[in-house]
Amino acid sequence: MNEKLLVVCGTGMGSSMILKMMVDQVVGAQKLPFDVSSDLASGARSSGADVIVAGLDLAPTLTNVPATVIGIKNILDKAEIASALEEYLASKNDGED
Amino acid sequence: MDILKVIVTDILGDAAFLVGLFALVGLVLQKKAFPDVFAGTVKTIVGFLIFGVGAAAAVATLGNFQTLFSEGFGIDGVLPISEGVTALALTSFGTQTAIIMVIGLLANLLVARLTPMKYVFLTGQHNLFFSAILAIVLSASGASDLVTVVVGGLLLGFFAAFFPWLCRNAMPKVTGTDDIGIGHYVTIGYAFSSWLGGKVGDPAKSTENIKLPKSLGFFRDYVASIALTMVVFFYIATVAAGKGVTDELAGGTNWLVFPLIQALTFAAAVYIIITGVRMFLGEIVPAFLGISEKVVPGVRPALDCPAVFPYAPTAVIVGFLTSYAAGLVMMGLYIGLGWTVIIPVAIPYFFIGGTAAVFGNATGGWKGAVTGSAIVGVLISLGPQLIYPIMDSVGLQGSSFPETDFTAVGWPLYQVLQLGTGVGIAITFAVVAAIAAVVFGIDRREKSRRAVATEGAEQ
Repeated sequence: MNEKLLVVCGTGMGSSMILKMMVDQVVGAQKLPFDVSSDLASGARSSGADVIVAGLDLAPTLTNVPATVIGIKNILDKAEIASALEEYLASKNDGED
Repeated sequence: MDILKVIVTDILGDAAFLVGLFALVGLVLQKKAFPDVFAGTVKTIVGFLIFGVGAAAAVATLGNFQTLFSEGFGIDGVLPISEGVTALALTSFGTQTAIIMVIGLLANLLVARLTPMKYVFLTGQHNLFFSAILAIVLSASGASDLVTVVVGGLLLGFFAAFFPWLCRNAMPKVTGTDDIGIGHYVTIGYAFSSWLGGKVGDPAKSTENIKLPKSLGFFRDYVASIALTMVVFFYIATVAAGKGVTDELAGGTNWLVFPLIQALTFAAAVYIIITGVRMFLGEIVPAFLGISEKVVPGVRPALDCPAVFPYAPTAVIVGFLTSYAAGLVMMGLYIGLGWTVIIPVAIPYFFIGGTAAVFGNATGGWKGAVTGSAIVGVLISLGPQLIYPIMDSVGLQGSSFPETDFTAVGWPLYQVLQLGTGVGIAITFAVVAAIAAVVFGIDRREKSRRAVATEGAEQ
């Protein structure tokens, strides 16, 4: 079962598009179990996503969202994205044990 | 022959199919599998059509706002938000806008390859807005469709590389690296804020040392923020216009409920617009980035302004509040002078004022953030004041473009075209060539200075 990953930003079409591209590349290259989509932050709560990825400044404002929120400082940094996603997957597996 | 005409005018003439074609080519060039090519192309076309649906809804509500405001106050009220005015432009200049955007993306690659301005502008919606204003200015001045799209496309491509280049020194002060540029057409404002910050403040006294109440994060919520601004100003306009005028517009709805519905309908329309834009950019931007990496070695992506927000999130809020206050002061000034009332819409002030503050903070701490965003707040209020008459003259009422770079290019272009289309275009390209020459000169100087510095360090 793939996790539902939602990438968000303020407008839903600016930085989230770039961030989504980077997430897509990381997920594809490392074959991570995520289905990736993007939207504006207003849509985060109703999205049904398991994980939300956003810029580091936006992440703290996504309260009351029934999903894990990951903040990324440099949206072009695939290493940062990869390690954040891997950390999430590791913590999920720990939880299930 | 008839088939050819149908293809050219009805299919390619439809902007949605045009951007679909561009996405198709991009996907094929990336050697994607057929199902992906098909899905991607369809999503692009449908996204553009969704954008059109949102546009129609936005046009209706903005028109009503205009009527209420001008009946109530005797002057025009304008709500500058680029998503709105571009949606308006789509109804009359849709095809030209789409073609300009496509030519502009290609021209951007060319300019990045041939000049020191090695930036590829990845904020798709800003290129869309720029295409719209170029389409409007050129068409309004009587240029033929062919001239409009060729000249517009070339200008877009040039400035898409030039404006990020303007902030080439300011960006590293914010992010610490120079491998990204700022792709947000307020670069004149940001470069100025960065420069001014260095003169008025101390980067050590950063905004990030200040704690702000969390509730201000409300304004980051696009839909809520637009809804709030529109509800407030719609009610002001309705009450001023009075029951009689409003009843005429409202059909059967109660005159005090009508503004609420209209304001929220506008927020809904903007959400639809964003959804559509996101869909059709979703295939084009990745394709564009892929192609640009192959065609322009050493190219830097110019990214949307939230890319810099993580580096100074408190500055963003400070910038929003300061610039919005400036916008309100300017609005008071316009009312006093009897000019067209440019009403500050929260969302542009959030993103633009916020970014200006981030740049000002990097060079001048909180003082830089405040002065930079205040001045940019004034600029994005004055800009629409200058260019709204152009919008109005082609029947686009109620909104305008706040971004400084659009005014800096659009307004002089319009003036120069009034001297005659041919003359105007000749002058424009002469100016562009002059700007390019200056860029080459500055670049040579900066490169030799860097070489001297490296040599000095090595010794």
